[in-house]
Amino acid sequence: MSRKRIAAVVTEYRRYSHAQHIVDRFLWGYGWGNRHHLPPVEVVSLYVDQFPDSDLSRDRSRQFPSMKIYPSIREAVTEGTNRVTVDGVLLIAEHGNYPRNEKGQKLYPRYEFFNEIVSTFRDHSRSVPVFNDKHLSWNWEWAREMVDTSKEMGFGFMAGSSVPIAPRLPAMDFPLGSEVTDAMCIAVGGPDGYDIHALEAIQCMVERRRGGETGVQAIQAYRGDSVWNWMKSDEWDQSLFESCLCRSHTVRSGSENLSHVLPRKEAIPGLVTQTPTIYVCEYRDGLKVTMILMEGLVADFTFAARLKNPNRIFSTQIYLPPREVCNFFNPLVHHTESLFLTGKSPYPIERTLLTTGMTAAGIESLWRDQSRIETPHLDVCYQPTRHSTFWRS
Amino acid sequence: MISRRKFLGTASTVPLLKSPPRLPTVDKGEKGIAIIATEWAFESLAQQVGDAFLMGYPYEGKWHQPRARVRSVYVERNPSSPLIRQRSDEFGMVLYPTISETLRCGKSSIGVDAVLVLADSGSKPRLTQSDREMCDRYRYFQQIVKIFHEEQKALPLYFSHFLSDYFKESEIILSTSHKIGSPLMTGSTTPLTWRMPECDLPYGRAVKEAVVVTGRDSEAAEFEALEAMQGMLERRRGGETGVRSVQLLKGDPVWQAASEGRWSQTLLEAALSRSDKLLGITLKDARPQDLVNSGVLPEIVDHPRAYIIEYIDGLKATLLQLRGAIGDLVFSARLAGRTSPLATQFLTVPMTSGSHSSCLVTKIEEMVNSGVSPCPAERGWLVRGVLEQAEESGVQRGKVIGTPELKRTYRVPKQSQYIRS
Repeated sequence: MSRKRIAAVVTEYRRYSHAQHIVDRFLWGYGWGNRHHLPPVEVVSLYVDQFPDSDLSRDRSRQFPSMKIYPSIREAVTEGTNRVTVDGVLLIAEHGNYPRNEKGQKLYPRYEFFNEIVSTFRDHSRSVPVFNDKHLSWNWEWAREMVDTSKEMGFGFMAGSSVPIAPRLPAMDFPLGSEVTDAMCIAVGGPDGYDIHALEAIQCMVERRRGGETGVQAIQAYRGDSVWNWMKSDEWDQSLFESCLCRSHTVRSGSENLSHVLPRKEAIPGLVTQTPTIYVCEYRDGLKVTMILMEGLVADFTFAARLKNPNRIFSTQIYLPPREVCNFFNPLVHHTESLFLTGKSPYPIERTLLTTGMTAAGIESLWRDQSRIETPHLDVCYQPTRHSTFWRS
Repeated sequence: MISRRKFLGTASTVPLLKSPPRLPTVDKGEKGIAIIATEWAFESLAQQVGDAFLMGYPYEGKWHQPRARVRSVYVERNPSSPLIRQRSDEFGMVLYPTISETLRCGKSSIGVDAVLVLADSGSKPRLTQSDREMCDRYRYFQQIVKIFHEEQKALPLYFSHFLSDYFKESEIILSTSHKIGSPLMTGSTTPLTWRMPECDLPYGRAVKEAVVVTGRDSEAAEFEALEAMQGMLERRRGGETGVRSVQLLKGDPVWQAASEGRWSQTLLEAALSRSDKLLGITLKDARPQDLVNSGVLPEIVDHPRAYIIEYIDGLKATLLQLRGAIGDLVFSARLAGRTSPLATQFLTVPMTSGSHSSCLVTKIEEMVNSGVSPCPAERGWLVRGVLEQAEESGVQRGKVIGTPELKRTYRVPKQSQYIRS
């Protein structure tokens, strides 16, 4: 079987950019199945939107002469011919120098790149699978349009963060068909960057609950001092918070002489090194989800949920290896290979459609003085895959 | 610092997170522990393990309070440090000036149910004689056993990392403990730590060959690597029956041995596929690498070492120290009846985290409460013997050294002991 040929459409390609982590794995291979795996997929064309001083795309193209850099997305998808010659497209629009809007959202051109790709498909009457890295857009309506377009045109469309498919400690999946009342994730980073990762960490778990996913009806965000005020209330599940911290390998104690204990409540504000952010999400079926970003308290991602019948807490850590190699991109690239080889996304695009909308609503809440935002548009319904897709073999 | 009085005074306003300090009350069902430590400094093993027993530790997504108390402590270096005084004030553990008083809690008879000997393994590449004397586990053991003899009572014993720096002493400790009926446990966190992916050697499966690769160049790292590998291999068909010979190769002979098929490059590729800390050019531009098939290893590993071990039952295993290639610890093995190798990484959890030592403390607690060691002390005995003879092989320029003294049979429980929950 001949190798599949794909195009990569990226914002920038430098060390530690998502484009570098993903495309490099197609070029050099990666650890998979207890060997060094070379994908049966070849990157033959590259569009790069920005070339900072630290650009690596030209170096990569020299090392892999079969991968040519084109000056436009259309030319990358057609390899400069009058037809769509590639078998798939990577759309990696993360990192780069782009403006922010009044809400603080960085205006990465995912929608614009997608439209150019789709326009090329239409003009040449051929569509191929597309992978979109992280969320679909900073704009909910555009994200909705992207998913609708992929269905209308009938091409496989995969998206999302690497977090849902990263390894876990312990290696457990959320029990399929569980009754769950509350769920929580404690993670790092800030809004419009890491909120999507934390929301995807939660969604890949809770989508497996009884009844499947039926959407989110409201979101309220808290940031800064209001986070500490919220923590003084009775509105949150302290046991889930402790369970998350008990799964963390990086939780700080807040004490000079105690390294192995959980911090006292009053010590937490002093430990957090980035402005804390919380999104409280009310799902349509009654599930309550709390996304907590408290970098400095922890340096990893942990998840906990309260299950019923029997009553218990499910918890795990989503393990993200060190950034020098970022091997959590291994399962992402492997699933992307599956997309290109089979034409179908290994997990539902609706997951990232929903988390894209939740991210936008969280930002909206922050912009509107941390008010509660009703989200009738987030009536995104889907069923999860039966089998787990996180990396555990 | 939180005094006992202050804690009791604020007990009605319990902090959000249920982290101890615990109230130093006595639960009649609790076992008492004596700790013999070389040092109780912040981030020392004594502090990590001791604190886990004093304050609890995270386990299975919950805070776990052990049913065992630290009753008495002996610390050889800096016994008057503020950290020890703080623990004594807050938790009621009593510091004694001698091992004898520590085991007897200052009275006339043994007042504890188990003894933990917590000596750091040392961070220097190769220990000096004075380092060994300072961390002299054998000296502590002699004093402990003397007390056991005096009182005709043998308690469970745990030795951190290994029994002794010397094989002969390890042999004496092992055989004496068996003779007097003292349950014995030893070892580091490495065989018990998280694995990525979660996997263990299938119990009772025949193993053809194994490789363990470390990127750290130190005695302690090499011991831990062998210990981790042995924790896998001892589960094989027939159990452990001992080692026939050992050979240490350094420098170019390491690569030559690979090309001669004396250790498997396929297994090396499998092990390295599990590394999350590739070095070499990855440090420069974060690219993934196939270190084996690219041929780059001899360029980036300045001083490779290969410990080639031939087991009595025919198994061949190799420890590769490849500083410059990777920064973590990985393993692979070829099993009978299976084409693809088994491979995993022994995960290094930050030492400042309770999760680092919880995998070890839960096993120590199991021994303290059950009186049975869940991990065989023979493992550490065997590893010490292999390393000692390997050193001799190195002195003799890579000569294969026969090891009749390493003939010993032991079996381990079917249930895996590494942490998965």
